[in-house]
Amino acid sequence: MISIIRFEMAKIVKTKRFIGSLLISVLVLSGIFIIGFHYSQLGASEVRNQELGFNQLSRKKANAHAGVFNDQTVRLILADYIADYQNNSGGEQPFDQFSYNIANTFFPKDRDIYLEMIAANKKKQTLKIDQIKLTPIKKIGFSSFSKPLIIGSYSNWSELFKVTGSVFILISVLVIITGSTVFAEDTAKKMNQLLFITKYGRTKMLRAKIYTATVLSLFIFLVAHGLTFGYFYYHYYGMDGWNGSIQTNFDLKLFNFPLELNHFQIYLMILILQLASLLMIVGITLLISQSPRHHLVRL
Amino acid sequence: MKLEIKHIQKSYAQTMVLNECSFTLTPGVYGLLGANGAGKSTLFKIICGLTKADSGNIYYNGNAISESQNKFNPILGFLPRKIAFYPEFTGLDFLLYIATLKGIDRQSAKEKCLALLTTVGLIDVQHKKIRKYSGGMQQRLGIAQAMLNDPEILILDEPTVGLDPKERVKFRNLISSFSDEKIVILSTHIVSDVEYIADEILILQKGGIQDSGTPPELVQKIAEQVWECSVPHDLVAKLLATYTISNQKHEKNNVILRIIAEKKPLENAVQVTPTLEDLYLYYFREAVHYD
Repeated sequence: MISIIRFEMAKIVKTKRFIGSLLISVLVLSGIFIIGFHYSQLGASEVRNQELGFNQLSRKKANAHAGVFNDQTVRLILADYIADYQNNSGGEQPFDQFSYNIANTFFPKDRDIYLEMIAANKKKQTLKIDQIKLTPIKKIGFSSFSKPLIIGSYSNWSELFKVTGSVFILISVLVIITGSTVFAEDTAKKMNQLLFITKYGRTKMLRAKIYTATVLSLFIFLVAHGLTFGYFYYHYYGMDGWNGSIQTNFDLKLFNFPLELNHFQIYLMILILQLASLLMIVGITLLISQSPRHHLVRL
Repeated sequence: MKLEIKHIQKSYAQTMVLNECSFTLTPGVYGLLGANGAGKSTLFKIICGLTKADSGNIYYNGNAISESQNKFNPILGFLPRKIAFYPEFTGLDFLLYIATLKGIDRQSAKEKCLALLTTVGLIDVQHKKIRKYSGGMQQRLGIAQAMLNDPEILILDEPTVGLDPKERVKFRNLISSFSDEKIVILSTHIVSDVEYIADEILILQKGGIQDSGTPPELVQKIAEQVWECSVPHDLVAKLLATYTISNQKHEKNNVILRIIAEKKPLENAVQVTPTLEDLYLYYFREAVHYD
């Protein structure tokens, strides 16, 4: 069986179609990384922050305030934020995405705090956090569990989730291209006449084709996501914020998400769901591939 | 060793392809001659278990193969028509793949593959990709894969189509070398391929075996029906519409026609010795006339 699988694998991977698809996928994956990580809001802002002398500003702010998420934490984050904002009023403002999104959620809606800070600065005064009535966490509608929510770096994980979605589309296309030839190629080449009269042509060979398509798809899935996670890890802040509650992700704004899950657990869930979907895609592709009369097979 | 085809019937939609087709084969080389659409490939597919007959049965050494196709297949070698090999496989890879599917163990598979590649003259290109093989080389690879399991029955469906005369000669010699103690059935339109190597020729027409015999026996049946005559150019079209013409040879002022007819077609027609090609045209003369 292993020998047959080896040959079935060679029938797929030794073709120009597969190699070409792989090369194009590498290009597309690079494009996804560039757009998803480099030119994301976080990526672009951190580059600019670095130019202004504020290296990894969002990360530092997130790590400085990482921990239990409560009204006190929110107050400390925003106190820090408005102090930095007013200190940098004279020159170019760096962009602290971590604090900015939190401010958008908790600043009162009937006031423009930024204008007030600019006005105060003009009067050579400073707006203090005590002068701002922050919306309490309860009023926002955060889910509550037996343990308190945890906050940490979240923007990097938001980017990862988006990129993971795009990568899955690429994986699906590559798997469909690969899987579509598994049965259809032998039919098109009229090799089935030869293969089906062999001892294993209708038994082990068919099983080997299914295993091969599945294993190859899983391999593509693992490699693609491995590269994605690796790129994420080295491009951003490693695993910072992995244990932050998904409810405290102020990019996604899933404040009332009913399950007590952190970013890493959500990421794993996404991968598991994608894996299940991928197996379904493989199954459907193989089903269509083995139907010689289906017009898609002739593509 | 005896292969008996008994009363095989097969239809596709409204078209009857095989109609009470029956014959018996013992060790030797058999040429199956038939026009396009006569049912040659269908018959082969039924023997190989790729298609089921509507009725009738096939027996090998007294056992119905439909009841034990799995036991029958290991003694079968089949080269289908016009298969496209895996272009990125080498010749050796391809044979090893087929050997694995045929259940040959790894050790003996490699030895057999190398031996067969030597026999078919492909040992020097065993590591070359099949896409670089010529048509003749691919056909020889095809026969090598059919021989992997040392079959008792070898079925070759139009194996010489597209080959140049030199490759066809090589191929014929190969088949002759493999035919000891085997039943070899080979279908073809190229009568010269079977003329030299077939022990017996089977004429497949109207769904059944219309005639069979050795090449000399069959040719003898139309001994007095082949004529040659010289005619002016303007008469050719009329004669083409009336008779089966197996050859036209254009000369300066006239055309020499080779005509198949029961009676003398023209005053100056001379009886000539028939060939197997004449026999083919005699049987399949409807296919020769174009509207």
